[in-house]
Amino acid sequence: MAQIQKQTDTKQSLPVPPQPEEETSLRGTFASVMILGTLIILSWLSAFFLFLERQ
Amino acid sequence: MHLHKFEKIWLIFGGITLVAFLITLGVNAFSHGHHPPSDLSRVQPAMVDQTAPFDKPGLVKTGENKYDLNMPSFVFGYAPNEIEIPLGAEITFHTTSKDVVHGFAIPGTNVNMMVVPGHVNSATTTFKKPGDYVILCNEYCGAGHHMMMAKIVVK
Repeated sequence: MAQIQKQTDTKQSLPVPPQPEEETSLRGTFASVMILGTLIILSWLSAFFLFLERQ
Repeated sequence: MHLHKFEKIWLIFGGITLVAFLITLGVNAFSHGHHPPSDLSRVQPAMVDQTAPFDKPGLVKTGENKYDLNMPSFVFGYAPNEIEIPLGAEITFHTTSKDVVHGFAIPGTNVNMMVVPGHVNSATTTFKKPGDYVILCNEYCGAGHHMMMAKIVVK
């Protein structure tokens, strides 16, 4: 009886935990937003210093 | 919530940038007095010619190398039409409109005002370089809008 129980135990498949999705590489995204951020800062600074120079 | 390391870096970068911009603007506005041109004084548009200081358009010395320049705007010009300004002087322009909405812009300076009838508008600038400057209307004010200008000669 115990043997049978054991057999059923081994046959029962445990629920498989969901595998975490493999993260996509964000290096290109990071580089592009950093370039964009830098351009925004430069344009802001150039307008600001133009304003100060004409003050 | 899981955030990617790059996302965290970007959010911190953006946050710092935003705070830096706002602090810069705040310091400029409240400590250096840089703000868009505006003036609380009112004037009757029909009575501009009889109302001080616009009854005598032109330069008024207010201090050491400091002047007020009172220039009413009208269709299609400014009074006075041409004016000489000493080099390096700090000029505060005061203007108002006798009729419709006009503009008052001096290319190459920060002077760029909207001239609304009933309101006096003011802007201050220092002319550091000699030469001819032009005052232009940049609000469409009628058939002669493109002719509306005045000349400043800095010597």
